[in-house]
Amino acid sequence: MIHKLLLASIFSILAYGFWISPDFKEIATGVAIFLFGMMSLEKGFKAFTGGLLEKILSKTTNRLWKSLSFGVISTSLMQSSSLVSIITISFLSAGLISLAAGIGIIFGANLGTTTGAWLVAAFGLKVNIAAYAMPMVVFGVILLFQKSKELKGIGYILTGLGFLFLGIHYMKEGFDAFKDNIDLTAYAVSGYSGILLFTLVGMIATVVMQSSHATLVLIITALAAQQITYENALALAIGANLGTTITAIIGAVGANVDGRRLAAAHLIFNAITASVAIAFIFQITKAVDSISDWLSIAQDNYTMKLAVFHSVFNSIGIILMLPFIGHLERFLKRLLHPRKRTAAQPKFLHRAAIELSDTAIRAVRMETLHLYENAFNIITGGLRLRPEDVRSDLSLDQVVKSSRRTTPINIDRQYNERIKSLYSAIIEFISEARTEMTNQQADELFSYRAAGRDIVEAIKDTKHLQKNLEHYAVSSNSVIRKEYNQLRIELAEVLRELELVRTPDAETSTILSLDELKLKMKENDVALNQRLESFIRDKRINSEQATSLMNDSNYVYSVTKNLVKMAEVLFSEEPDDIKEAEQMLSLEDHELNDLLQQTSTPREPDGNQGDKL
Amino acid sequence: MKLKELLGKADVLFNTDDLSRKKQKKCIKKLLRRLSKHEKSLHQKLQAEENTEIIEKIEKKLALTHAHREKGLKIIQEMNEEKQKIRKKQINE
Repeated sequence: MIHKLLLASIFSILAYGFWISPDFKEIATGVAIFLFGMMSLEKGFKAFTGGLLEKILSKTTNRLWKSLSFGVISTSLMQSSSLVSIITISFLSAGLISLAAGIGIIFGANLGTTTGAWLVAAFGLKVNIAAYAMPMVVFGVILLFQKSKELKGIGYILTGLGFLFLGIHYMKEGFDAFKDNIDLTAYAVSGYSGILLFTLVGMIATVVMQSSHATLVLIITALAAQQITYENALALAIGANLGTTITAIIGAVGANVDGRRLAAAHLIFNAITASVAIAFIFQITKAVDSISDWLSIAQDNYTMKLAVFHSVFNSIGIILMLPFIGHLERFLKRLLHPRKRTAAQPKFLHRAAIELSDTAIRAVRMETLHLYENAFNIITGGLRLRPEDVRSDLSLDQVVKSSRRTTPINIDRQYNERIKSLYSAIIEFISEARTEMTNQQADELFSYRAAGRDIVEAIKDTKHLQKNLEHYAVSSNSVIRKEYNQLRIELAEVLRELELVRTPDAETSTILSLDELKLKMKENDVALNQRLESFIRDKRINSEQATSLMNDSNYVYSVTKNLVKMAEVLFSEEPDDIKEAEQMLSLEDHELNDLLQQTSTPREPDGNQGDKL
Repeated sequence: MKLKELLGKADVLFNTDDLSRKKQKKCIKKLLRRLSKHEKSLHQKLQAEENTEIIEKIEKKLALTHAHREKGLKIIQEMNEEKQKIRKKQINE
């Protein structure tokens, strides 16, 4: 309701302003076009945030100076500290970078954003940039109609830059015309009260426009048209810096605890920098004058001096805060704690991760792995085994022998508690995330959704299997009892093997290693069929037991098949082209059968002829 | 150079199918090198092993790795033959 009232008020004020002043309309149009350009530019850069940015980020997070440089350079290139903040929060939420690296990037972004003021003050106001804007928009729009993601991205960047230039042009024209009618400097307030008042105005303007860059351009054009005093412009710039943290805070609402910590770091940095700048504004202004002299900037070139001021006070903030990054990180970790979550709650699916397609894909993969972790515990529990025993090096025969003391779990209840809601959350996240994705990216997401379904199927098959496992575990017929224990061993072997495949060495490949499991699955099936024949022939088990054993062996086969299918999609961390090549080399069913004939030696369950388990 | 020839060359140059085949071939070769290394290390392990159960396991792994390598080599051979066929067809045209 408040939001609607606020929107209606803004609309009314603007409409009244447009009615009484055509110049104000021109300035406001300039701001609107500029903001539209920013959005287009951000969309364009997002098209390139895939593998390349991920690779650069992974190499720029090991040292503080590297993350700081990344922040400076990326913000200077993209001209949007908001986009860099969103990307950083998104990567942090997906666990791609550490909190310290994130803080470094955000500090760097604050300095990087000052290049915008330099560009606008040095070129934007002196060159007829509208002349460059028009061809940019035309070429950009043509590129927007292209199918290629990269060309479309370039199209958005060109259109965005074109609109930025047009926006600056309209703002400049508007202020030039404005000064002939009204002198805004009459409203200038000097001294500390003016500084505080204009800091507040700058902050509010940035919160409304959601862009410190737009506020700064507005300040520079107004200053160039002598509609505000230099002193008030400095205060407005400080306010713009403070207001920009709102974007990061909004971005962090849907993020995990690290994302919220990063937004808090951003707020602390900007608040401290602003406080220092306000407290020492006259000393900083003197320093700006000296630097400007040294850079041969004319004394009355206030727009360039504003750019110098913007860089100087952000640099002071970095110099002040840099030695305390470690303390800041520890303080934030103490202040903001992760929400306590159950095994059924998503760990990686945060709204912030949806912002970038590749991060969303990574988050889905991690969450599906989390789903598998839960499923692993349920399946081992269904076999009456302890997960840690299956993961250990202990002999599985021994593990199964000693497992009679373990209490069986209720798979239905475990499924409802640990799987159902998590799987639903993954599906919901995928349907939300895929709207902005390319076909290839959407296919990858669908493959993870299918992997989730395979996991669920494996649990359901284990549930069917569990009934007879429990029943025959206490059978007086030692043959059937041992056969059922053999099924437990076989499935536990599959789970253990899958754990090994999850951490492959450089020599082996994940997908090809899974062929070994497929081969083993076939081998076990053949061996059981051979044994079954002899058991029935020798009347060591009755026909009912034989049918149960055959059905349950099918369930084991099905669990294994589903888990292998899931692992092929989920476990490999190789690049897509290598994964594709691995799939080409992976053996087909008939090739596995041929290999089985060459290598198989049917095996009996250990000690089947007399030993009691 | 005739326009037709020029267009033909441009077609080969910008043919995405051809490019993706080249990429696939490169990846398969990379995997083959990895498999060959793995096969060698399995052979070494086999020679040093005395436990018959483990020997059997290693032998199975070896057979599987060998099957993967054979399949990879066959795919590369087929790719080369396919490429030669396309070249011959282009020359004839």
